[in-house]
Amino acid sequence: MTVAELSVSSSSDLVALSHLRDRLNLALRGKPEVVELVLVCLLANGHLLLEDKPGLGKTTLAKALASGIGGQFARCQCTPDLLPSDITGFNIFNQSSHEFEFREGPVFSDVLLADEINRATPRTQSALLEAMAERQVTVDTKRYSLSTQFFVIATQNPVDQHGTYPLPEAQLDRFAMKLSVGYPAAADEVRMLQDAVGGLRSGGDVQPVLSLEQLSRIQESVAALSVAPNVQNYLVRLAQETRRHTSIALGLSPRGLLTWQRVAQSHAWLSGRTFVTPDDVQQVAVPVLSVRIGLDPAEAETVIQEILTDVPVPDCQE
Amino acid sequence: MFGRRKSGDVSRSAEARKTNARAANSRVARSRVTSSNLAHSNLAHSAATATDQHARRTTATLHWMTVLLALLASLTFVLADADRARSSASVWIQITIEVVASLGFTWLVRRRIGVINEKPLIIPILLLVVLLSLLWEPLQRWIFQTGRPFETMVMNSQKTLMLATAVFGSRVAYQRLSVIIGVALAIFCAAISTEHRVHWLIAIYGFAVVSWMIASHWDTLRSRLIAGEARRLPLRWLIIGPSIPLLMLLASADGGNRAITAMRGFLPGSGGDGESDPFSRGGVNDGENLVAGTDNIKSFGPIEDAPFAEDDKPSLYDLFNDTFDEPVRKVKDQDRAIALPPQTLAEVNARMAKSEQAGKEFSTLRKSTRPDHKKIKDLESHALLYIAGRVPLHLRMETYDIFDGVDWIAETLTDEPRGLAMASSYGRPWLRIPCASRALEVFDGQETHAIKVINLRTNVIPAPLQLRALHIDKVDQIGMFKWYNDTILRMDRKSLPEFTAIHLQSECMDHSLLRDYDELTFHALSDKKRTQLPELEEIAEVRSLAQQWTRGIPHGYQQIEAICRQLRTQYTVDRSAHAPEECSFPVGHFLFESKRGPSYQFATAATLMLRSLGYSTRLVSGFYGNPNRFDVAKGHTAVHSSDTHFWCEVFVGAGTWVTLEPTPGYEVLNPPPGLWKQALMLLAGCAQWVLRHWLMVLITSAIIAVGFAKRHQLADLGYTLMWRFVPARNARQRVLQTMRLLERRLRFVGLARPSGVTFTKWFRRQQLHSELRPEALSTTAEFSPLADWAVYGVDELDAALLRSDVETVCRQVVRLFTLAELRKSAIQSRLELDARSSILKPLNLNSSNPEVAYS
Repeated sequence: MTVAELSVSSSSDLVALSHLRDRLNLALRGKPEVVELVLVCLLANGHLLLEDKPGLGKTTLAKALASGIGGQFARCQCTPDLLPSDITGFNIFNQSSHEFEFREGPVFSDVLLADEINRATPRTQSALLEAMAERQVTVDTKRYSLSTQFFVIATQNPVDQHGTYPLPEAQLDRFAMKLSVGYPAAADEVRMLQDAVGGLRSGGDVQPVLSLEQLSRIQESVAALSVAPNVQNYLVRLAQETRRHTSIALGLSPRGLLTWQRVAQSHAWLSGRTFVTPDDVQQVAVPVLSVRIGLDPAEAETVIQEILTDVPVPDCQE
Repeated sequence: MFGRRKSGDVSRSAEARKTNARAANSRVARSRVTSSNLAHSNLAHSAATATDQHARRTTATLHWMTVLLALLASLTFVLADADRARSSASVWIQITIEVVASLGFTWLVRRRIGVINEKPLIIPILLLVVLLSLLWEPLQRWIFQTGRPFETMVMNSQKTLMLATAVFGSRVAYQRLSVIIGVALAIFCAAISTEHRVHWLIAIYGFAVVSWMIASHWDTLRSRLIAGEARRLPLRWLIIGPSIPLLMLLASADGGNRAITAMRGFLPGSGGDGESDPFSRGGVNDGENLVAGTDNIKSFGPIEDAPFAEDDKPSLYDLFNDTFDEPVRKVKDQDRAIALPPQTLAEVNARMAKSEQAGKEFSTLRKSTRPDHKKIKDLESHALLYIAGRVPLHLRMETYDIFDGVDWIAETLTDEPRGLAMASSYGRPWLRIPCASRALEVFDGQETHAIKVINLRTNVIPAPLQLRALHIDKVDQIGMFKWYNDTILRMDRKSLPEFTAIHLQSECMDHSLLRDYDELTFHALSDKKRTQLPELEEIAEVRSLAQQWTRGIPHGYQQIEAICRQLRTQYTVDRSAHAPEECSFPVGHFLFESKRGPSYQFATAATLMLRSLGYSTRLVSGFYGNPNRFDVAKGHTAVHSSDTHFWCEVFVGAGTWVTLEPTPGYEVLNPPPGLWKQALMLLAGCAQWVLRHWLMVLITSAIIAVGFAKRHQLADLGYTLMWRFVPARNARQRVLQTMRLLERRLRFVGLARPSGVTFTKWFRRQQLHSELRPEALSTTAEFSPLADWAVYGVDELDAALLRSDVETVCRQVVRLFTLAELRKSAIQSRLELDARSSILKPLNLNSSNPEVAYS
């Protein structure tokens, strides 16, 4: 009797995933915990918001991820003059066929990097967010479905607030989690410098390591991972506590709660378990909640810590 | 409540009047409480009732406020329950204990509030508390011979429940329950108590409840503003809640017989059901306590406040009834009596029952004339008299001065007895006995006793030495009293009135002050009768013995004490020991040969020895109110013929005589000890007990000390045995059992798992800081996923094969992580935590690496 029996993941998927992890770790040095959470987010089929200062490797991470899963990668640099049609695509009149043709925008990809999302106007933001939530876009009353693995990595810069349109809470809710990369450790920076000497920086390994089919399969098995009633009750108690907490203006929404469960499932899957434990819930609490409760990062962590300490974990079956 | 039980035979209307008076007393307080109750229901129920609202935690202020409120209600109840029958010291000690315990437990509960609230602990604790308080009653009755009536017992358990819910009441639901019980308790107190202070407390409680409601309401509002959820108004409770106090108010407001009829049998102890309970407070049926009746009297007993009825026995009170134009009955035996006006006579139309047993108030037992009532029996007693008041008490009946070696000759009345005076105090006639002595500072307060003569056929009034005043109800003629001798009074009739309470007021002497009191001369009186010694040769021996006993002790009270002490310690009381008949000086035989004898030998010996040393003394005979005969339930002491006793008195100067008690086993009444002295006496008593049972105490305390020091090991042993032998239903159950065992061990070594951390994480984290064998680490790695699965896993493991594997892992983990092993690692872990506490967060929940070890 060992853990092996408890795990159901097929070994090839696991190997592929471990390669992806290595790829990401190589792209973002010294941040295995961030990489792990990015993977959790990916497997939970959620979107990711990276919030950090410029030059910390947000875009690098997104590109490495896109190249790693072998899907189509698209990128849009958000600016105030970016129009919704620049993201979703638009109908163009074809002179030869005398018909309107639909030109797909960057959302018709598997991994979309929306750089500096808070610089786009609210109108453009909402177009993107529809795509994120529904995995579809509507252009001129016609609906177009997006890729089922459609994964958005949005970045935003917390420092430079000039000419930005902060995302409203309702739209933030579409993101599964918010991460900040943070500065690498000194040793990692030295290694990074060493790597940079000796040539122009290439795009790196472009060979995908995880196919979209594999990803899709893993995402399905993540979604099917069982959650015991006591853990679900625990999640609900935590959510209620966020609604009750005096420091939090807007508590966790039911949609947020669903996301939390999915992310916890993903974490459990990555940990090789077939069921979710309160540890999974706790491990992903900060990234999942900090995008939703609208507090600055340091305070958010304290408050979440407090809630996790206050709500007792279930210690028997219900 | 409506009818105090434990009664004599009281007519129902009399009881009704009492009830009315009590109800009127409490009406103000009760209406206040009831209105607050109404308001409370409205507010509380309009605020919220969703389940999560009840489970909501309130602020600490509100919690403390609830505890204080509960303590106030408890104080009210304790005072009402004591009913002035218990000593105030014991009442206040009880209150102090309750206050300290409640506040202390609240503090403890608040410290561990998270743990306590989340475990299903509180309801069992509350049930246990109620059960214990109910179980205490039979124990109390058995050990202390006192008890409570049923209704008070029930309310007492409610009081305990109220305190417990308040202590654990960090949640709204418990706080409300506590306050509701408190209000019910206050209403109960208002109904049973006639004390003003209780009613004041109830009024204060009413105010406090209103304040609590405002605070509670505010707390609810606060939570609603934040939670922002809509609440449903519970119409059902809005109607039921206020109607309960309304109904009670209606029932009690309707006075007279109807209230009693309505409430008859409502409280089991009220006597309405015809049952009798020796522990009840009062009531309407037969019982131990005698209460004066007013109408339809069928029985007769000693009285203070009962009306007078005609009887064919000689009475102190002569009654002629103008309303009956009948010939006066010929009474066989006649005695001097006090005339009373006819209005005081109550109509009598049946044979009267007579109670010779005294109750708490020396009152009469009467029966109503209900034809269906059972025949009333006489309650007989063999006591000569009863004493109400503090004992031991020396009641003097005769004094002797001249001794011829064998016989004592009683003192007789001198020519000029002291004058008596009659004075009225609070409308009662009191006979003032002039005090011969100057006011000395050896007296500590006045002492009042009441005696009731039952079978004593004499006209001498038994009284203590320092008698100052005497009162018999309605006897306001000085001529009724005469001096029997210089210090003893008698009544000017053939015998003392039977069943009539004689109140005696006397000075209480603090004998310990005599020792160093400078103004006492101890000079012999000029009256030679009190220093006379028989002219016998043996007197010289007595004198030399006395001198031997007092060698080196200065003249004064210390010498007197020395003589008494020697007699008390070296001689034995033996009522059957007699000197041989040919003996010419029996005291000599007692002093030098047998060294045992009845009390008169002790008294005679002391008298003679003190006389031989130059003190004026006299022998006294009378009754000794023995504390061993004190009847706790009735509050009095019976004096039987075996309580006749001899003692002596010594003249200390300044016109003052002092009672001496040379007989071992008998004590002299001293002033009641103060709180400090009582505490010292208690301490001394405990110390003596410990010394007497030193071996048992030593062994017990050693066992307790070892048990306490090794409590964790012992508990762990128990739990481990349980783990080993209690079979598990399946693999999951087994893993859970193992987890519980490990969790207990962690708790025992001071590493209790915080409620917000899973067992697995906590268990693994403890090992980060300890140097464990690799075997232990691998076992942990095997056990952790099992533990996670047991609690959070949904699917079952595959049956038979796995069961044995699970068992192996469980056994291994239990074997490796013993209490001793964990204790070692706990010390290590704490050391490291201390060193790194500035870096580590208290709960390092999300900064550690995700657990990818299994993938």
